[in-house]
Amino acid sequence: MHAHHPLICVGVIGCTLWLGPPLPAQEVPGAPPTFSVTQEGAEHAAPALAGTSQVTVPPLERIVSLDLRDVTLKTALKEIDRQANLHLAYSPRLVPVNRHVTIRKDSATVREALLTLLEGTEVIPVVTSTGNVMLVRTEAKKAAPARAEGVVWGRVVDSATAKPLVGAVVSVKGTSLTTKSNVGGLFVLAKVPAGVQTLTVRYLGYMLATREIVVVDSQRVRVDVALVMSMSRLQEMVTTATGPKRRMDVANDVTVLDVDSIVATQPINSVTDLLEGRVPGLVVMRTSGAPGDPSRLRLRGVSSVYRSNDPIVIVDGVRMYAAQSDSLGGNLSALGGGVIFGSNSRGIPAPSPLDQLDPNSIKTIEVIKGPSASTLYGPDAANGVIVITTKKGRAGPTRWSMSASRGLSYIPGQYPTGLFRLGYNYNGSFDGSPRLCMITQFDCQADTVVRFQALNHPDYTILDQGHRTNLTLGVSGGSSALTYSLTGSYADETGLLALPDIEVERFRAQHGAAPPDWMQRPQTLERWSGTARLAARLGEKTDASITSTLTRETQQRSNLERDITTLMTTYVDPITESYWRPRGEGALGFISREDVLIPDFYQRATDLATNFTNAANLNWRPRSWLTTSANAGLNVISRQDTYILPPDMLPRRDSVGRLNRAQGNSLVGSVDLRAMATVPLPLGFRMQLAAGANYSHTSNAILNTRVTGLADGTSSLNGAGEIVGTNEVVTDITSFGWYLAPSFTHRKFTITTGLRLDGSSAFGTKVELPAFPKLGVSWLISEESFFPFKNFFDVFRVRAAYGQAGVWPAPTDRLRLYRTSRPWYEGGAVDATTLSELGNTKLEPERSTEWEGGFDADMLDNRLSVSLTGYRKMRYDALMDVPVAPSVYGYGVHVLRNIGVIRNTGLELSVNTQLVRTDPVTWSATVSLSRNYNVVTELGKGVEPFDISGGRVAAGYPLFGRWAKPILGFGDANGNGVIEASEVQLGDTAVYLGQQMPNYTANLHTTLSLLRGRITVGASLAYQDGMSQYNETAARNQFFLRGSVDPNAPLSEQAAAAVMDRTSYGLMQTVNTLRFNSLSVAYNASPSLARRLGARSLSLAVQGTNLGLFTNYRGKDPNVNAFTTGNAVQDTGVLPIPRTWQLSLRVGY
Amino acid sequence: MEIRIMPTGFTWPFEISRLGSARRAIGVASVLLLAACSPDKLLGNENLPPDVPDPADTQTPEGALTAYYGSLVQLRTALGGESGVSALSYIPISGLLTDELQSTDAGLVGVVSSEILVDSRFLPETPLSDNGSATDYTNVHVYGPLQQVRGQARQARGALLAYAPDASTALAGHLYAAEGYAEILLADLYCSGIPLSTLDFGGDYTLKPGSTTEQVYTHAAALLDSALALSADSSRIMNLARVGKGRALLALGEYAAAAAAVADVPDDFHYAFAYSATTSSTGVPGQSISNRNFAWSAFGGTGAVDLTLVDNAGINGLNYLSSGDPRTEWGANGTNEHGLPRFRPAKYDASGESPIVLASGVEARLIEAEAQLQAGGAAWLATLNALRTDGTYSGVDSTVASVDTTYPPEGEEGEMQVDTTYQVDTLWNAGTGGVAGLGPLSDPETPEGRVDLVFRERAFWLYLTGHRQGDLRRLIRQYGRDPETVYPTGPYSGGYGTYGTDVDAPIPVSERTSNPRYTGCFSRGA
Repeated sequence: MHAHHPLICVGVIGCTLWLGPPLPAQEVPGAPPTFSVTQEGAEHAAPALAGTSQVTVPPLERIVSLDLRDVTLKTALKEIDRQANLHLAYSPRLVPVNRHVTIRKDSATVREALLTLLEGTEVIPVVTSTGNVMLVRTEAKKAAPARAEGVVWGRVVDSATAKPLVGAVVSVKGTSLTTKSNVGGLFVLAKVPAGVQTLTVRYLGYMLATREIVVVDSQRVRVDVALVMSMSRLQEMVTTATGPKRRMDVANDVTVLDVDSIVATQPINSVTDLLEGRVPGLVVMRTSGAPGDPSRLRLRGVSSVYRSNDPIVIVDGVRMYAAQSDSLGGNLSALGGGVIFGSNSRGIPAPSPLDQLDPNSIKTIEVIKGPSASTLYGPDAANGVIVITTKKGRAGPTRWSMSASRGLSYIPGQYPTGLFRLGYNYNGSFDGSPRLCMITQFDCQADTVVRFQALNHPDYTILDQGHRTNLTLGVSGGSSALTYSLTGSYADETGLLALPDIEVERFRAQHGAAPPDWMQRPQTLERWSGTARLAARLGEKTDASITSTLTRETQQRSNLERDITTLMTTYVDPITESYWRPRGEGALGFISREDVLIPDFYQRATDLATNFTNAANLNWRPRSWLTTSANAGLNVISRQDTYILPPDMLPRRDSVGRLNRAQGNSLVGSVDLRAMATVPLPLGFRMQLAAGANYSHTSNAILNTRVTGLADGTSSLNGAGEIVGTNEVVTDITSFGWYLAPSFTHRKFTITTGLRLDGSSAFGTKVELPAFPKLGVSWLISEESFFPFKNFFDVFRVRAAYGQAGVWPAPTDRLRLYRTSRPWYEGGAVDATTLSELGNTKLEPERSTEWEGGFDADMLDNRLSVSLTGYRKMRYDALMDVPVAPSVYGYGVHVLRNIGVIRNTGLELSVNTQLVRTDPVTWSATVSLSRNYNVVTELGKGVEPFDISGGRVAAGYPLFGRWAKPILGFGDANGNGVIEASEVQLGDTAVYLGQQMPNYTANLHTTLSLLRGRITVGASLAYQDGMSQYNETAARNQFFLRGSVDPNAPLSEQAAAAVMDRTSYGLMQTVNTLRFNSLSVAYNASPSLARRLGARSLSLAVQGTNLGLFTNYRGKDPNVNAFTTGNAVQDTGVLPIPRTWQLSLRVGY
Repeated sequence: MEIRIMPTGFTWPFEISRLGSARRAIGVASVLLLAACSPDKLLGNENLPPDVPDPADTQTPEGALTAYYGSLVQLRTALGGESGVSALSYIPISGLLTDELQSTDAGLVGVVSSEILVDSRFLPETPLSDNGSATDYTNVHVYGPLQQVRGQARQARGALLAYAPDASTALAGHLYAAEGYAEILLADLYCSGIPLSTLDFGGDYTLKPGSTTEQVYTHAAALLDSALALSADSSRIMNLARVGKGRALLALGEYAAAAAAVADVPDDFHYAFAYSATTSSTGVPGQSISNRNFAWSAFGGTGAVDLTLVDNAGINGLNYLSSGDPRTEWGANGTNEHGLPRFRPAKYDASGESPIVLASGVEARLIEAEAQLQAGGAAWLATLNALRTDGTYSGVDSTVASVDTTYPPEGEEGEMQVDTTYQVDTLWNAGTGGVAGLGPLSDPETPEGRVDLVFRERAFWLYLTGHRQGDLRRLIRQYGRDPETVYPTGPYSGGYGTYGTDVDAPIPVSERTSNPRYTGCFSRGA
């Protein structure tokens, strides 16, 4: 391979053959750092040019020697001018002549010297027709007209992975020349006018690259472009309900994630991992750190009290059932009760359908945040839409890709130690019984206080290391008529809980055998996943694709995880090895001696899920002005969940064994038809008229059976001693709507409008289709002549949008319903009915409206991209499950009413920047900031604030706000030196303490690419503030807090501990967290090395997650939530988010 | 006049006449349009999910009958049932407030449970805990269920009237009686100012302001009058209504009217709710109906609610245990986990299957005895003695080994064995012989002593049937007794402080937060 000797040309004035070593890209005039230009065949340059260049030394090739220290630029230029006799001309307005510079060059060319001095000024030297040198802004050199034509070719790659990018659009600015990169990332542009040209390269999900090149007549210029991934760019195509559109023409802020780039460089194991921290306005709340546990997603706050706040999910145009708030959100076997330990109200987590999608099979994820954008998506889209597009195959030879990773997880750091105050019973005299004493227990004579934490003790802890293995295999290829993409993956994960040896031995002594594996390592997750997509071109006007995804997943867990909180409050006497802990759950327990360290690890929950999605897409373009599209598909999720307590396990109860078995199925069928006509209008306007119709039917069915009296060794319903109960839950929701959406474009200006008529099944009423309008305006104001900041902004777009969306009541919400039963009454079973729901025939859908506005700006030669969005989202007619006075029909009766108004206002800022953009080194960063302010602005007349979802609904305060009776004061009234509960004054009424969602979030993702992409380092930080967490762990630790056991503790601590069972005032805390979320260091083998190893590409990465947590939270981790479904947020000490490290290998063939 | 909507020179990008493939698109659009015009069809609106009982099923004679049973089962549960893990229905709650029951958690420093709050007569309207509006203790277990009985009885009556007009009117009478008893129990326990909101059959609900205690008793008596008017063909329901009316009138101080109301109730009448150890699923996830009575979770050792019988509770309490009276026969029930002894009533088996008497001929005679005492003369004593000597109260079941009723029990704490094999006749069949262990009473000769004796007899005869709370308030309200001479007082068990001063329960705060017409108790006290 010969070295490249670029021919340096400036305009048509003159070129010179550079005979030195190949020029680094940044040394080429006008070439940005990540862009290299080499001139091929320059040795055979046209004689005239070559001859001319040999007659005299061109000005820029003259040799100068400089040794200037801390002089002004003006002085340095003057010195160069003096030595080279350049007749240097420039304007002080363009050149920062007062800048101080230092330069030391011996025998350098003028070009080298000038480029060094002018680095970062966007000013370059050009040789005028008279042979003088002029310093001009980069654009100025385009003035010269093209006289001849050359060829520009090159390769487009990802700056982080060096992988070729296929389909990147490469254009020569000011011409109609455009092409796309092929399967190897290569592109060729012929007939490019000679001279200085601007080459633009754009690719979905990457920052626009703009490069100045010099094209010489009849020569080939090679331009290799390494694109830097971008989170949001105006040039991207984004998916809308009416079809793909340029972001520029969409008036809303839509976040687009190029999944392939993220997965290639970051530790990603689920779709939630992909979304977390990458979507401004999205809050991800983890349920726990157990393998496969789901997360709760909230876009732009919460708006609904009664209905779901989950965004909807669309995969390749087909609705997928992904609700996390309803009864399918957790393990189905716990629905009907019968779980002995643990709280059914919080549910047992089970993996979310969203995370059953394999990230390796996804091409893009687009997040549409609110009603202003989601109007046309139909019912329930008011909470946002997550649009997932799977990978398509590419025409070309078969390409294989493989990735494998192996990792470990653990809980970082130590758990805070508890204080155990040891003493003896004293009722006039010591009775010899050791016990633990609170300072307010005056019948207990304490003699010592010890610190202890069983979770930190190697013999007693149940925390060990977890392991994870992931394997992915992908193959794609095809012809121009048919392409295919197949991705298969396997994941095997073991959680970090392990039964300590001491309990293994106790079990062995009790049962004569070691406990089964599932008791010893209870948390496991195994997932098989496959995705296939076939795309066919059926002639010039038609193409079609079919996608199938299938995931089979088994998650297992046991009650051992609940023993984290038990152990947290257990003291092990080192002498007697006896165990002490509060009796029962909650703060109301007395401390007692227990026989066993781990009270219950015998109950197992398993979730076996099969998730199948089949999507078919047909695009038909019967006319150049008319495109039509149809999507149809099915999503089927089948669940088999089990909760089992084998017989003879619990020491004192339930020796008969229990089994809960649940079968759950959800089926979503959806059809989406749309057409778009493009019609030119007078006065330069162009109209796109979109029309479409959607139909979806969601059916969920759960059958749950609970039995007792299991035979030894069986885990079947057959032969069980008694059927305790069965439950059946069935919901069917059908929705239908159609829309008309004309949009009008006038060069830099786009107005989009739309109207959707939307209906949903609401049993027993005449269906009406209320109308939901939308309106959006996008204006590329930087292209207007009057725009005053053209020098500062490359692109500046302002936008505003308004839209509405509806959220419907559940199908039976309007009806008065009855509960049937067959109670035993006077000697036999009778049929009995009582009211279960009062119903409300006047219910209407919730109506969500949103105003959104903002701007998108690219600056500094696209090194900096800023997007700012403000929104005001109102939920009118919010359905409130209003408590009915118990004097009407007893306790717990509610009636739905359209009475609430809930407002979410906020700002979202996204900044993408390239801090360094050189060939060997690139450093990019993406910062997103969002702020959400949530408030219930109205409740219905006469409706008092009420409690729901662990919080309160009160006008003037955030939805689900946390309230508690305040501690007004305290004092040692009886002078005994300690504060007792009776000496603490509590307020009569609860006061507002905080909200359950954060109101500020910030995320930083940064990638440093070294050695031309050979080494990449990625890191992310996440910050949250304003979320109030309920630290129930502290309540369980009540007896071990300093205020409970140390008479010398500050009285305020004593007071807080004394009333912890009467008010949660001291348990609620507004927290801020800064989490070092991830770090990835990857080595990307050079193509030659990869080829030597038989591969096309190869990378090896070390990746870590959750590497640091800095927080004011007094518990272990404020970002985990014990509630599986619904809206409540509470930390009960469930498994915190673990720290993980993994080694990842990715190979392409 | 020519109207031009397109500027000169404008051409459509297609020719109207060449709509070949567009015709198909129009066809598809037409289908969609038709569907949109008939959304009911498209949305499948006619199907109710199969797990939801069809409201139409209740609109039949059989459906009306199921609503009738629903009311009675609710009253049974509200009176003395247990709901899942909880025993806190009316009888145990009122037993805790009075001298019948005690929480075994008492005496444990740091424990503030609902049972202790009631037991120690500390019942503020504002719950101690933050989320009290959702969990305040008497609401879930007593106030709510009793109000539900009222609402359901009205629903069931409406259903009978609408869909089973040919059914016996005694069924409706039975429902009036159930509603009347629910109001009596509400008035016995709760403060003056009880809202009696209404839920119309098939219609809306009407929130009501509070009613005074007297108004509630009067309303209850009127309901029982309606029951009497409709139940002529059922002597059982007639007698139930008579006793109930007598109870309401007694609470109003109308002694003679009360006696008149129960005059026709035979001695051997009893209206008892039967309980069973089975659990019935409701078909709603997580919900089931327990058919057990409160004894299962209160004394059954489930650990859910640790209650015990108590002797001489708080100075003023009666000596139920040490008296050796067969009507309050008891058995040792081991100790709780802190070594405190527990006692259980012999009349209620720990399985929770024993019946509980709501109304009886014994109560009728006791009402008459009190009226006779008010009227003067000696008849009252004869009436009481007749109950003690003429009945067939069998006491301990003859098939069961003897029960150690020595009080205090002998032996070391923790060594006491749980008696599980005894059962007494809780129904008491009067009129065919003597009552084991009960001799005739003698006249204390003083007015106060006579009142004490009548009320003591009521306490023993009606032990743990939900009558004691109403009686103690009547002693204050009608006989001028100081509350601190009636209710348990002084140091509370186990050094937990002293008894409070409450003699009633407040209306739960959730009523205040959801009923704008309700403004709180008119007054607290008897």
